[in-house]
Amino acid sequence: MSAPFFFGEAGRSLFGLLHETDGRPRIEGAHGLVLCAPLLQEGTRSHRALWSLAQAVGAQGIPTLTFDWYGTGDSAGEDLELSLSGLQSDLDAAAKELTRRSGATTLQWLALRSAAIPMLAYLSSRAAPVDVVLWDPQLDGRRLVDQWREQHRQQLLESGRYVHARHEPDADDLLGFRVDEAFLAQLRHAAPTRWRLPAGSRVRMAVWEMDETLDRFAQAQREAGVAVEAVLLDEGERPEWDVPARFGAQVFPRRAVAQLAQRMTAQVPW
Amino acid sequence: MNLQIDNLRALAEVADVTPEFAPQESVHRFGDGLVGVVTRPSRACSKVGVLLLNAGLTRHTGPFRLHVDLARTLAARGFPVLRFDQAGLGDSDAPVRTTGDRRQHEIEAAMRLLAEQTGAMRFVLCGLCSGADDAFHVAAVHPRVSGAILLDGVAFPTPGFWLRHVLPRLLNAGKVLRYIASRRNAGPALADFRDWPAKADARRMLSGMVDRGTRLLFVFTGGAYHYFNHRDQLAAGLGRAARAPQVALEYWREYDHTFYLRKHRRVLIARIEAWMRSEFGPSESN
Repeated sequence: MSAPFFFGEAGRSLFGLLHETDGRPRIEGAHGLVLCAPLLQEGTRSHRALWSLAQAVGAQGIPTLTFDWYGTGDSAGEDLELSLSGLQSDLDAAAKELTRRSGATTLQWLALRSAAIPMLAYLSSRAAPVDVVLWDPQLDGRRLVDQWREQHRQQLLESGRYVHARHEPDADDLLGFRVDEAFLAQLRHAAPTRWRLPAGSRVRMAVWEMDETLDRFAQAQREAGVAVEAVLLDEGERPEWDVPARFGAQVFPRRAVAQLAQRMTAQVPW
Repeated sequence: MNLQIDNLRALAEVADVTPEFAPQESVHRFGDGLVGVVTRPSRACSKVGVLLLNAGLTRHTGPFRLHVDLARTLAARGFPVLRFDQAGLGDSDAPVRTTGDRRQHEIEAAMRLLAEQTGAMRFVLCGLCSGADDAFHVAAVHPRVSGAILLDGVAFPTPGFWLRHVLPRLLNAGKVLRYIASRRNAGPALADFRDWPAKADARRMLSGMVDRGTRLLFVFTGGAYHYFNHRDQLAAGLGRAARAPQVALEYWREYDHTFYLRKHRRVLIARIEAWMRSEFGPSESN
């Protein structure tokens, strides 16, 4: 069962969906879960997968919030207004709203792909330990922006999208959206591998493949007193995030969604 | 009726600087677990409401947020709009009904919601790709549907289509080889993804809509090149009704299927806005 609503400050209203048990009482003292979607097109592509994960976790008694960043989806604002500080303020609003609506006293956080950057920026500024799940995280801001630009070039020139013409996009077009250069600069300079979560925090990474950036991030967190675990997902259903011809296709790795739901609800240990 | 692309570009420039409009939006759960957002005009509200249907599996916000921008633009012009997810898509629950009339039940529930929320009495259905298919089917049978906007919707390949499609490719050896290879490993065909009526039924459905006075805007893009490649093909496939005065047609062969570029979305939104105002403007609102 999910309930949609708008929340947040006047002028910065955000779309949210609270996923809960269907009629059954909440689990006493249960924590809440905030799910964060990737930015730009990957947010659209993975929407139903995150919705399904939220439904599965919510049905087990853990109130779970999915929401649209300001300037995306049904939330107010324009895509041009995306900024790193704005995304962090959205996380703050989401946490307050979930706490207010569900009564959860502690929160768990899950970020998919590029959502890891604003989430880690936000949580690393907190004093108390946090509980974070990073699903296929993108932790290299420079590489992320470069990949976006390359994908945009391929969409324009190589994907077969334009059969009869070549087009010049508007200057701030990126992956179908209007993205501020200043935001891209913020992302390029973001360095999540150097950010430290509060000591005593816990990070679980669910990934299809570990790489050097993730290793560096895990190492740095451990040195700061953060517990880090990694779970490898089934390589056979790894999404084709960067394949130009799949750019418009939905991403729904069913086994990963089920596996994550079972782990987030403690049906299966991490 | 047709507006040339140059005129549309001028319209799009205007649309870009239009409205000083803060959208009034409310979110709803309705029907069998459906979720949608109503965007309402701040001033006089037309009695003609617009329903935006899912484009394929994409959430109700539309490809690259097209439906959000379109809803806010139309509401600024006085038209209430509901964008919603059909069962199993976006934010809506999995389907409860498994019967074939589920699509119509869901769209009827959406019409009721928009009527309750805004006083809309008649409706225009708007959809891209499978959304256009849904709009065509429901518009053909529902008396409260006064119009449909069909983006890369139903059309049938004709002999002329095949000539235009095949001849240039015959001169390209690479394409011929790829075609032969594709026939050996035949994947899903167009019909596997679309929900078109049989051609004779589609002609009857369109003719019935025209007789009833339903207004239709067909827009085809270059993304439909594998089944549509000339303006005349619409009437050649769907019959004389496609040439009726209340049927408008745009063929934008240089555009892509999901309007990836903002400048193309601006043109589309401007065209839909102009069409809505000309077909359902203030004089039509009651």
